[in-house]
Amino acid sequence: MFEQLMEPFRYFTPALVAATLSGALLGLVGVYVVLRGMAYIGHGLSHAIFGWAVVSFAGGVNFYVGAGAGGVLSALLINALARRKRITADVSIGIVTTAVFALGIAVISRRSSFTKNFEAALFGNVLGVSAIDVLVIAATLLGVALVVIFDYRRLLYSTFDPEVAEISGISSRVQDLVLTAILAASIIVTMRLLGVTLIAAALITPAATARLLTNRFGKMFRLSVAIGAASGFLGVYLSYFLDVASGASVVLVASIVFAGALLLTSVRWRVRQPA
Amino acid sequence: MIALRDVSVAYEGVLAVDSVSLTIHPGEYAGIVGPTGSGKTSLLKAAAGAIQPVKGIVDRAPGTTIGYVAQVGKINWNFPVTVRDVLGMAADRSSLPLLHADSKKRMNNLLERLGLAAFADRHIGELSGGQQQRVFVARALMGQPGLILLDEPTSGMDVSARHEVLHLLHDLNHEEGIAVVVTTHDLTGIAAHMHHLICLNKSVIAAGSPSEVLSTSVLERTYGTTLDVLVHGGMTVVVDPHLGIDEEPHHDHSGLRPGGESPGAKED
Repeated sequence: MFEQLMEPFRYFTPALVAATLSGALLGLVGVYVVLRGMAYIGHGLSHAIFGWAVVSFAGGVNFYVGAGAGGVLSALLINALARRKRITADVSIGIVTTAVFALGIAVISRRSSFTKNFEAALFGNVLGVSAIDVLVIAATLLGVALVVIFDYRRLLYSTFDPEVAEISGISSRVQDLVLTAILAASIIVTMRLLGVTLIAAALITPAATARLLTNRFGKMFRLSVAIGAASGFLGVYLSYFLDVASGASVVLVASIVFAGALLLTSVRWRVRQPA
Repeated sequence: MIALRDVSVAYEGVLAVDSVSLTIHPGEYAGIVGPTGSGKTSLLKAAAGAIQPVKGIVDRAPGTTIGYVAQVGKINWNFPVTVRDVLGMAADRSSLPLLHADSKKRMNNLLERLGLAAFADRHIGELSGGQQQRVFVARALMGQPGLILLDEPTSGMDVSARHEVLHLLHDLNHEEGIAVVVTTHDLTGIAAHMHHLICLNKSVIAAGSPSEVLSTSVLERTYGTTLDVLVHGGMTVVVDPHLGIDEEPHHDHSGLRPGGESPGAKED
């Protein structure tokens, strides 16, 4: 029995470490995504980055370089388009990210050899996770954590009250750019493991769960990172036994935790209400 | 402190403020009144440097520090922050989560001074309207400003909260010498207590003391409707100022006769 339970560690150790770090990373960035109401940009950017990843693969360019440059380019295009008076931010996200996703699909449909990789990219795959990938995710987590710590109050101020933050000398454009950059980096390094279609849920569900459980900003960070890491670890661990795509398993675990928190807070709220 | 010279502000080509010139002096205690869409907030933001005028110059004296309090109606009260977190946002240049000892001391002094110490670790949504406004005034004071600009500081508040805010602004001006400029719809409350009033409807209609400015003719030119003015206990009182602001005009004029008791006159 014990040996059976330890089996995933024998075959999956890099994937388990990568999933735990990925969950923590997305939990960290997810706090700002949830509080700024940016869930749609997370969803859109993952699709755009997928498109750039396919294009860079077809062109023989390194995944991280191609997808990274493409992600930044997409974010800049979204910002530039959204600044036009007649186009809202959600429309610009929809146009830019879907166009790049469609470009990726077009490249795939021209090459039949892509089909298997395509499925893995959509839903996540633990088999391709290498020691290099683990190192890249760990380095990104460290970098993002440093940005969040050193830019803590500026990011908080511009998220909570962008108008007055701007008057106080904090440029919302710079803070938006910082956030878009760490968001794009987080999506790029976790995309292989979690899959394009599921990464947005892995990004927002731990943070939304943490928000249900606390009214404190600092505590929301700690909870979101912990829930993200635990969901990542448990999701990939269970995917071994359930034989399902790793991304789907991680998102299902995070969703179950969210449902539990929702139930808990609903019960707590009812108990506090006077009869 | 700040001089606006022939300042115009426009959004998408539509003029919000038209050729306004005014000076804010040290220790000023002034109000800007006018109907919705008259350019009050735009003028305040231009003075704060938040928006660039399309015409004219905003001159700030060297070393002028400005605290800005936006309308609390725009605040997301579900955001997971405590009173202490809100003050910490404007604490100092460093952006690290931990505050510098001086900033911490200043924060604690302000919490004490503004009667917020007992609520410091509470979520902002748990406070009353008056307390919430005090939190944002305290945040503006974190930068030790010589001038504090407040956009509709009593908007949506009940009478008791309005008085609380009015007393706070009065104390900041009279005891600490901080110049205070507010925009307000509250003609019978805040506006009548200011030393200086500016009636605005895109351009300046009139400026002076409340007794000089709050006259039927000036208010008619500002609000485009007739408002009755009476003097009660040495204070100038405008009867039912909401007549010129509400989308649907009131039809019952029984309480609007000079000397008659209207609900608005009773409140103050």
